[in-house]
Amino acid sequence: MSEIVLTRIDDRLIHGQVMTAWVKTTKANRIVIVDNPTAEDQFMIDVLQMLAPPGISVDVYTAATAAKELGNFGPNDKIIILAKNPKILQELREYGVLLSHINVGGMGSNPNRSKLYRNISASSDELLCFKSLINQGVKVEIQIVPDEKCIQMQKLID
Amino acid sequence: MTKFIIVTHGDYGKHLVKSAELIVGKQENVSTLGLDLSNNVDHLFDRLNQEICNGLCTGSVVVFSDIFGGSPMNVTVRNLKNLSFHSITGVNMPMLLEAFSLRDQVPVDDLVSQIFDAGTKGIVNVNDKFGLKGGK
Repeated sequence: MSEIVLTRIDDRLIHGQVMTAWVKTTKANRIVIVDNPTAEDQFMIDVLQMLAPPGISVDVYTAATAAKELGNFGPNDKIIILAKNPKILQELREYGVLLSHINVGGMGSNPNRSKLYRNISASSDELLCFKSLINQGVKVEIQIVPDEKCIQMQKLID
Repeated sequence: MTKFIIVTHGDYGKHLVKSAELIVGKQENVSTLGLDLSNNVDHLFDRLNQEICNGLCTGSVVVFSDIFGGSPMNVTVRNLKNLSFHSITGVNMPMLLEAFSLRDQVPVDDLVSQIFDAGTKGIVNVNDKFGLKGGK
C-alpha cells in the first residue's frame, strides 16, 4: 500500500528549493498535484514535470481523478499531495481520500484574503474550510520548510 | 528598442540594474519586478504579462529571472505559453552588463546567446585563475 508522506498547501506549487527540502525530509518519490484547472492544462503539466526535483515523478489530477489514482500506486511509493488551497483537499476527502495531517506552506495575499501568518493569507471561506477540517479531526499545521517551527492552525483561527 | 525585464525574488533585480548602471550608465526600457514572501504569484504573473505585452508593442523582449524553478521563473514560463519572447534565468552582473552593451547592436537571438556565454563565463574561481592558495 503506497503511503501519503505529506499533504501540503502551497499556492506556488513546485518552486525553488522548497519542494526539494520536503522530498528529502519525507523521502518521497512521487508528487501528486491536485488542482482542477491545472489538470486540464497540458502546458502547465509539462512545466511542473520539468520542475520536479531529480528522480521524482509528478502527476497532476483533478480531485476526482486523484482519489482514484491514489489507490493505484505501488506498495513502495511515498507520495506528497500538493494543492493550492484547503477547499480542494476538502473535496479530496469527500471523494474518500483519508488525509489526517495537512501542512500549510504558502497562500499568497489577494483582495479576498487577510494575512494570517507570514506568507499565509486566507479568505473567510478558506478559514471556514480549515475550521471544518480541524473539526473533522485533521491536524492542520503551518510550516514553510522542514527546519522551521510548526504552528498549529487552530491557534491562529480560534 | 529591445525591452529588458528582470523578475526576481525580493529586490535583487532592482539592485542588479542599479549596480550595472554604475558601470554602463542609466538604461532605458528596463523594468524590474520583485516577489516577496507574502506576495501572490498570480499577481506577479499579471504584472509580468503587462510588461511583456507593452514591450512587444515596440520590439523584442528579454526576460531575466534569478533561479531555475523559482516562482519568478515559473511565472515567466507561464507567460511563454501565449507570448513570444526570450527568457534566461540565473541573471548575474556579467550577463546584464553584456546585455546592456550589446542591446540593439545585434539581432536578439545572437544577443541571448552572447549574454548566456557572458553570464556563465563570468563565474571564475579567482584562486585558480591566479594560482593562489585559499587556505583552510
